[in-house]
Amino acid sequence: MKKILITISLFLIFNIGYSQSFYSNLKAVGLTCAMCSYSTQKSLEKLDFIKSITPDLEATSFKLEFKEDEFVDFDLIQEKVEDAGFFVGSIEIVFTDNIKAENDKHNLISGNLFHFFSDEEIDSRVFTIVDKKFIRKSEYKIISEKTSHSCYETGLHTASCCSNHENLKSNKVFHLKSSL
Amino acid sequence: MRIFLVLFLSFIPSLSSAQELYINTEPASLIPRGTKVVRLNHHSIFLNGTNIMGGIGNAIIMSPSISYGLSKKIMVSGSFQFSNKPYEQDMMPNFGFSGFKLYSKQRILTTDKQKYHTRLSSFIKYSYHDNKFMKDNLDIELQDTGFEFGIIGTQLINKLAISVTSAVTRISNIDEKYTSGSTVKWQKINLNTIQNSISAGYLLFPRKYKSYKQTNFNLYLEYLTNTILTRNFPDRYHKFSSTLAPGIQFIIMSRSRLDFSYKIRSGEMPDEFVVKLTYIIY
Repeated sequence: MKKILITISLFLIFNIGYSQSFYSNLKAVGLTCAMCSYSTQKSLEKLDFIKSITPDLEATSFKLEFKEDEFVDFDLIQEKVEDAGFFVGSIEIVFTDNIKAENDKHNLISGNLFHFFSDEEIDSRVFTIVDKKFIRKSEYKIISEKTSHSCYETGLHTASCCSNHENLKSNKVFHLKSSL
Repeated sequence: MRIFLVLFLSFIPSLSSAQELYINTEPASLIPRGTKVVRLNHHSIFLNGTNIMGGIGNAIIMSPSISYGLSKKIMVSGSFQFSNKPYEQDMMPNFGFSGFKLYSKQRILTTDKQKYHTRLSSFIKYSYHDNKFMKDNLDIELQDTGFEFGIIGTQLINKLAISVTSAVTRISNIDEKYTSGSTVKWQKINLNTIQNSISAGYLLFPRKYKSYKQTNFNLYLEYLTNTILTRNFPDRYHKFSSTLAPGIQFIIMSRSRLDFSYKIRSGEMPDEFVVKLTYIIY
């Protein structure tokens, strides 16, 4: 009986640990031609942690899939879009399974540390990055008043700010709000 | 000239999107950081005079150029020019080097929203040319020597992209006749000019973007003016001159451009046919 339980729990842990991953929908703004979209794609292709890029030229958005074992640095994604001469309108993160977004809590998902904001506790798959550089100042102000964690200001995981997490691929924290 | 305008304007409502890869002027946008853009420019100027051999001398100009995005805020560009010498009675092929240009553009301001943006850039250009094709025209792009400093603003609202360029130029290779005693001599003088232009571009095809492989077909209309600021200038020049330049453009595989434009100059000045081939190296 014990063995069975251990096997089941190991199976569950294994499953939880490796099945929950995510991809992103990047909305770029300022693109007015196929050449512009192609330049943005070429710039994004320089990032090692991106596995594939699927453009939607009509919507000037890109579906980004990531390599499982690498940290996904959304700051670099923004930098590459700006190098091409454009701007990030928004970045959506779509998880493979629903996530219970507890307000103002951290969650480690495939080595990436996310900090969730939600008005009410909801299960959702789709979240939007709401870090300082990705949203308007006024929106940032509203959210920053609701959290006491310094990582929202700094974007970094520290012992004094966030609870301990093992297996962090980077000390960067990205902040997510439910898109619903 | 008016027919072009009417034709162009009547097209506008059926177009699906704005384009700002202008043919005869630079857009306020820069090329992406770290990319190189190579271009081959061809100009045929239909000179309306005849040369000494009795044939109509057309000026043929070829100019390869390369641009590089140093950062997202600065790009630099350089080009050489080769041309024939249409006024020389030379039976031998007389195609040769006739000048170079250096150019840099800096981004000043950008506000980007979904399908709406404003961009502002400044630029500086130095140009050296030793072959004057149009004796009564001022043009540091093709035939004059001088410095230019200017500002470019591009505004995009949904389907309309309008770009305005304003530049001051100091041209330094102007020949002026003067008399000293009883002899007539020539001297080089400087002329200051201001150039203003307005450009608009529209995407005609494809109606729906699905793939980078779709060829884009764009229509352009540009209006360029030149006003001499210096009070005294040789009387072969006009204080104000203008050029209307309709053009078409193909964007192939999202990384090559083939541009055609026909420049219609005011007054007696010759028309010009422009072909540009552009390729982006990522």
